[in-house]
Amino acid sequence: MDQEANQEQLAEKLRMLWVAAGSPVGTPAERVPNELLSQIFCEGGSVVSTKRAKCTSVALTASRVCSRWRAVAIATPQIWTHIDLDNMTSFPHSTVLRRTWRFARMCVARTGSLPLSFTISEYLKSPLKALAGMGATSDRWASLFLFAHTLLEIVHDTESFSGFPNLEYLDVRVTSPPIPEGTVPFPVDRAMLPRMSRFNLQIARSPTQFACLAYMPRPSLTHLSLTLVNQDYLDILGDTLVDAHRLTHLHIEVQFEFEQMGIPSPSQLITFPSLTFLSIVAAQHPLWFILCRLRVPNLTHLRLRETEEPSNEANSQLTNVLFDHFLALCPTLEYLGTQRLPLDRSLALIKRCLPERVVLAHIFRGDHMRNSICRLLRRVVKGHGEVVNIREIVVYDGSASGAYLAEDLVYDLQDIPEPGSPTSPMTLERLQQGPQRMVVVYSASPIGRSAIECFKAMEAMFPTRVKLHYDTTRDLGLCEFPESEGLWSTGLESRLKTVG
Amino acid sequence: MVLLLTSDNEMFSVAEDVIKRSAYIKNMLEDVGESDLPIPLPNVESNVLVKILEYCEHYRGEPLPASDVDPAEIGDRSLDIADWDQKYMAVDQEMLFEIILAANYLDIKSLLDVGCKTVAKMMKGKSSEEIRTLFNIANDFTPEEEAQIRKENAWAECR
Repeated sequence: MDQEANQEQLAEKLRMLWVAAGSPVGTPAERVPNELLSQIFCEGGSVVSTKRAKCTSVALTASRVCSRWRAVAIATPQIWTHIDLDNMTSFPHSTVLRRTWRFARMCVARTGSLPLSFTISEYLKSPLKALAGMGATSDRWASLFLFAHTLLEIVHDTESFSGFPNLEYLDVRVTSPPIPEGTVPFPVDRAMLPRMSRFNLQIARSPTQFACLAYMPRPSLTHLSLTLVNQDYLDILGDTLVDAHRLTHLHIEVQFEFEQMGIPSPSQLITFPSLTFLSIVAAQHPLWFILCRLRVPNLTHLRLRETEEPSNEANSQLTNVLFDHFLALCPTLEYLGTQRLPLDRSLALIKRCLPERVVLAHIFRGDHMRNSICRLLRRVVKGHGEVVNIREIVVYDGSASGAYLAEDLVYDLQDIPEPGSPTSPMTLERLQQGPQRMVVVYSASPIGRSAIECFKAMEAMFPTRVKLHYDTTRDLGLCEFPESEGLWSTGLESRLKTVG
Repeated sequence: MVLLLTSDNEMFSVAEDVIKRSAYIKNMLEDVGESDLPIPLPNVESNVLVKILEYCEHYRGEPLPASDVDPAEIGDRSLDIADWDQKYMAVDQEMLFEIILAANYLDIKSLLDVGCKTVAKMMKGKSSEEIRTLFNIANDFTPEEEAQIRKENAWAECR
């Protein structure tokens, strides 16, 4: 028995030596040297969270596989650097806090001296002292996602706060009540943000939350998302953001009715000199009124969503006046996305703004609407007229009419000549030599098998520089204007990429 | 043409612009200059080299990837893998790791990245036990390590 045990031990020792030497012994995974194993771990992401579902890093699971993986995972600081401290609601509060800090200490200890990113849940009051005590001083923070009151507590913690010299990304949410009574605004002088590249502030609907804007370091603000519940807040917004010179992204959601208001006077104009991305969700009249009030000379991306039909005839006439006014002033755009806008307005905007990328989301009921869309897409495919700039166009219909639209499009595009066809060499030449164009039709409703076959055949028929795509999906992430990261994307790039 | 000699003594004649995707071979050719002598690849078997050359041939003429990413780079790295690369990596586990090892040895950064991403993607969403089963890894923790892991489990949501 002893001899057998000795032989086993010897065999194991030899196997380990072979593994260490990189020889072809052991399982494939065992032959991967430590530095490659570390690289594999790094590919997976870097968020370690107290909540399993939020982990993108493989750090925690990899460190529980075997001794070697554990040693490699612990010695790979990159996979521990994004620390998400979220609430574990299933435990009593004191237990949660104790466990959360132990978790944080474990992660921080494994990060070496790398910059850190924190997501701090609302339940962690005044977290800086504890974090600084474990080596995660604020001068190491590169990215921070937290609530407004927590941020203010941190920057006013004179004992532990060592500035944000390396902070590049700040994402702040305002909740109710937004800030403790007696709080003073963010000390811009003391809490310099020299490396800040993105500061995203999200304010929901209550007036007290809106007031929190005054406490934030507005000169560093780059992204702002807010809901207006009162007409007066539009004026306050202009006054409050007068020093927000870096603001590039603005999302406004309107949750109130405007009285009849005509074209604003020059003194009512609110200027955002750096704004490039504007997104508005509102009913018809406030939508165009706000657009007429904003002066955005460098705008390149515009997303508009109408929330309801016009309530009365007078408002509707006024809306037409406002729309014509905005149309006359609207600059050339790179991107235009519209949802539920009357089709003639979307088409007029396309004609005026000459965008390169377009998303039209609507319920395209009726032959007239579908014919208009088909004519537009046909011109895009051929590179004709005022749509010559369009490189990508996505048409989304979340209703049963989406299927009809897809079928209409199939039949409408059928007569475009096949490659090599002698019937229209000029057209074909333009199709083959022009820039790549992508036409995507999304429908929430299924279309008939024969139309799908036609679609596939057309994809093969068209020159490679033209892409057609049909898909059924209910959520594009475009129309709902999610509160998170997706808000600032144009919604469909990743899908378009995969389609391409 | 460049001659390559694999560990199982098979000779390959490869176009220079194809194999130059390997920084190891590229540097060697620049150092040695033109020669009729084969370059020995003692760490690469012929069946793996065939696979590696398939990759290099596919990306022939495309620019070489940029330099290494800063290890302290902020933000999650995407696990997106191009369609062709996904199909290319649809091999058995033995070959997948052989490709990774050969890409590392030959210094083909883009291929190494795709290989590592493929393995990372296989691990995604799996428990440590599932990963052990997937890669046939033995649980060799010492009692002390087991105790420490149990503690760590308690600090985060049970996994």
